[in-house]
Amino acid sequence: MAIKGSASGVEKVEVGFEGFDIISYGGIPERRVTLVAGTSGSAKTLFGAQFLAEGIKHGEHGVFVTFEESPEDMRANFRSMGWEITEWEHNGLWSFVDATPSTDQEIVLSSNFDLGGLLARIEHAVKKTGATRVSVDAIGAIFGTFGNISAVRGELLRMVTSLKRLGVTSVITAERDAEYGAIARFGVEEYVADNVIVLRNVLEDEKRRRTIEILKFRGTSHQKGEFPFSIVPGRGIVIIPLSALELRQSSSNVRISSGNQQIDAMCGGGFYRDSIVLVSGATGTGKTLMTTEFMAGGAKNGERCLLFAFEESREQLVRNAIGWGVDYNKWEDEGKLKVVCVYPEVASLEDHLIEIKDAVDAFNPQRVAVDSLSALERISTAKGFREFIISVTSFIKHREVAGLFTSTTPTLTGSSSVTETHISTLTDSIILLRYVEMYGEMRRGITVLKMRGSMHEKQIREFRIDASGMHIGKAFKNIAGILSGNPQHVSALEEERLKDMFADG
Amino acid sequence: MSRQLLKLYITGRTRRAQEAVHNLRTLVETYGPEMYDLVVIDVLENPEQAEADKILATPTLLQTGPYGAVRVVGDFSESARVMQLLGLSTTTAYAAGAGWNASKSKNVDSAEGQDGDQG
Repeated sequence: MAIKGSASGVEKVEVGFEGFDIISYGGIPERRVTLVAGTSGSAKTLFGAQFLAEGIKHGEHGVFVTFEESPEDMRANFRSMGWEITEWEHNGLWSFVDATPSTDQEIVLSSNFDLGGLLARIEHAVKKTGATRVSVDAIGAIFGTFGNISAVRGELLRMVTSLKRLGVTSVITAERDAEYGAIARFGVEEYVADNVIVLRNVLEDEKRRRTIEILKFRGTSHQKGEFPFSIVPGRGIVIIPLSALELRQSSSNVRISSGNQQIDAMCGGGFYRDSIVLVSGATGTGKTLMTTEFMAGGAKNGERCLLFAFEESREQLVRNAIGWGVDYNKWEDEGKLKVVCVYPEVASLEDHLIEIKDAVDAFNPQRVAVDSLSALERISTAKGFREFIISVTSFIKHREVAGLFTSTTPTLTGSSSVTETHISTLTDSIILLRYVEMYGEMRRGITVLKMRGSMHEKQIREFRIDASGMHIGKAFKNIAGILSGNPQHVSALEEERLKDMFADG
Repeated sequence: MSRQLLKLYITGRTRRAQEAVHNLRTLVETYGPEMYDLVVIDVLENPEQAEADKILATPTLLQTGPYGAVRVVGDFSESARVMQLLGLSTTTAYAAGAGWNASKSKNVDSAEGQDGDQG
């Protein structure tokens, strides 16, 4: 199981949590003690239990030393994760050392004691099960039982030494008082400080956000900073490695159709097969239509298409599509299309991300569309949303599928959205849809702002929408300031004059 | 009168363990040999038993009485306090368990009733 740590003598054990082995560069240090600190409710116990459960899946046995939750409670609680602890105990794969406070009257006469009983029990359990992983949860409780802090502290040091001597890889959890402050209560980190992981459950703008941070791994490297994670039933802690999704994909020169020949022409022959396209526009400018045409264009070519809709219900989408001559139900029946409609508020952003990834993994599409990214913006903090955007674009690029995301601008004319600020550098192409007010009339304009690796048309063209979809017309002539939201008529003479000026220059 | 079992958990043959055994044995044998049976259990040799009794610290004295178990942690060098907890007296031997229960304030009433029965 151990894999070589990067350029050091410290070997690592793959923990097995989704994402953790990426941010930790291969797991936690082998045969060492790692402190996992977190406030109440930060998933420390789950971390400890999952560390053992993942080990068992890979043939490594484990011992769980519990100070807080009784073994009965844990067996019941973790059934929702799909872990049959009772069965594992029966088969000798998992063993509890129950160090929860007894109901007996406890009288501590003097500080002249040690934790010999506990150590002997741990050692016995490790030898009996042949365990290579040990979880201790949570270390702070024992200070309450025995009162004498300095004596207990000394004993904990012995416990850590003893765990190292046994040659097991251990995780010790400890409670913290605040999300940002001292690592753990009672200064326990002084004894197990070689490796420290911090779990956080921060309340930000009335939204809970869980993150994990590897504070230090002595003698070996890891990714820095906080990474969001989510708790998924049946899977446990799922970490979302943001920057870990490096852009390693190869670039394709194959073009695919946007589903609209005129837009293909504007883009210099269609989108690239593995590119991400951002379509930005105010409400009603035709973003959902572009998404529909993008999906239909793929399905017609026999490609598998996956649509995530966060703004409209399934019925609305199907009805709209039929209005433009596209039959979603038919494509779905043929297995070429899958429409996933989710209301943004039903889950956290992290959960949505995991759901998107799962759906992509399960359906294995060649085209993915998200309509719209902006709908997800309202359920998250700015920081969380930025991370989400990075993560979802990196993931889709990594799969080398074509992606089309839509983004809603906050005002009807001009302007840009937060989504664009986050995503524009990550996308390969940006298409703007804008309302253009001319002579007391609202018209629609389209322009290709960016087309990575290809020539594209620079004009702003007018387009109209009818029952057969989107139709691109002529370029707006003699109009300036469309993108800034202040269209102004420019006389033909003025235009000629400008042209001459640049020609001379 | 039935004799009560006292289990003293220790870790190995350390000086602390031997002192605890010596202190407790002296007190019990001097003042109440007819009240208690003292059994010394080394957790290194009997970890299963330590697990069953959920022993964390050593030395721990575990007495399972009729009113629940009591655990006393320390080296038992504080003779007067230990004797009080065990209901041992330099003059009269109380009924077994009286001292234990008297120290549990919530059980004082029932403890007295028990005294009457046994006395």
